[in-house]
Amino acid sequence: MKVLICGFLTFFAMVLDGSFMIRIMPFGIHPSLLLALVMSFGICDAPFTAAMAGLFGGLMMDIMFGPALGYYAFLYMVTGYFASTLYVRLFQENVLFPSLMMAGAYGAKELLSYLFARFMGVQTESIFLILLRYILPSALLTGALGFLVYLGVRWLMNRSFMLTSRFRDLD
Amino acid sequence: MGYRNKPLIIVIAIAVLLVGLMVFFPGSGKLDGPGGIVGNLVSGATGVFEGIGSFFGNLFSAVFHPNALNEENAALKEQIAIYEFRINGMSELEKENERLKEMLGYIEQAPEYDYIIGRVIMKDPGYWFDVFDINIGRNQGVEEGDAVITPQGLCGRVLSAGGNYSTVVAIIDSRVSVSAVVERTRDNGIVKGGMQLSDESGLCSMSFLPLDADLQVGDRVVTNGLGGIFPKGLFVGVIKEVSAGSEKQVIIEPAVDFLHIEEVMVVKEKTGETGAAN
Repeated sequence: MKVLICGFLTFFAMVLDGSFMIRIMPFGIHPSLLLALVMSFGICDAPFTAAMAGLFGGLMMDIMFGPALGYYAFLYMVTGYFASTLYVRLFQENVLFPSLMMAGAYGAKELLSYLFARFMGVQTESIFLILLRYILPSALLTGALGFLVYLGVRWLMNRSFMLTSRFRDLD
Repeated sequence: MGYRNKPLIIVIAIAVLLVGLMVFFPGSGKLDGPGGIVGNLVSGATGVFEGIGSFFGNLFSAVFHPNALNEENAALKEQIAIYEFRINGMSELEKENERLKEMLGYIEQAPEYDYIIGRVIMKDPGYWFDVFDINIGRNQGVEEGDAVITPQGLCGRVLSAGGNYSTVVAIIDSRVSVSAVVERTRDNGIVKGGMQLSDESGLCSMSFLPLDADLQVGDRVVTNGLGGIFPKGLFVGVIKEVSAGSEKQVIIEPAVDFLHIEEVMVVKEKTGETGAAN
């Protein structure tokens, strides 16, 4: 049941990111609901859950419009796992830190994405200008929206049908 | 100790596998079976959310720019009328071109086009690639490599085609190169996309132009049909900036507004009717 619900939520977030969010956000800003959800899974359940959700969501994005198979899967899995591991080990007591970690994770994901894109031959302007113009606002918005996602996932993870987890045993 | 590190080891192993996939299987169009199932599922689901998002996006635009929608509607209707006129004009020019070429002794097949209309259902939310999905695929006759246009001009080409959806890479994506010609001076060059900060909707650059090319801001750029990827005569954009230096390079503002693209047309060559002049 838990795997199904997490899988469905991941699918839903991926669909929203690619269709709904990209239409309503102005000035080229693209917050990532999928990353917020992946990290919420990591914070509320286990970092390995974040890794698997990121892998699943990223693979679907790769199938739909990824430049290479594994591109988004790698980014979301690695970012979700390490960011939520860092949070769990260092900042677990602070309620507002999920937002900051999500914003930071978004920035890290985009920088990693930039490196891969350059490796694939994509030509861009200076990364620092892109960081200020697009990535930072999107990261802040991801953190803000992510806090709401985190509250929702925390409520969901405390339901009786979600309490057992194979992945929790691994951490 | 080893059991506690197990999730980390699994994540690292999967990460290495994914990097291997990226290196050995570049491009997203390789998964036909499972990819097609996921694609059809996602394309069905996005229809609702894309429509809702489009509604709210237009609503926000109306709040901040109340007259923008009416102006945009009028401009679009005018563009459609111009485009229809140009299609008819192009068809006549092609037939004339055929007759002239026959007179000179050249043998050439003139392409005749059909159009398959589709709707944009998803876009890549990242910053580095300009890719979007449309709700038509192989079942509707779309094939990999087909040119995609809007009434405004050239939009991109089909990167991969599933059963009922297709992935289109836009001309503002730096992986796409378009062989084009400046309509006024007939100078040939290569139009290439690239992320430019000065315009959210994306700009292109045109290079490999003759050094003595007399180009002006506002000159129209169209495809020249070389390479066989994009049909000849498709409107690419207008010259926005001309730089003088060791290599002539211009900045092109695409005709298509990629921020607000909704419906597109996939160009297909007509079969059967040859269109040859008598």
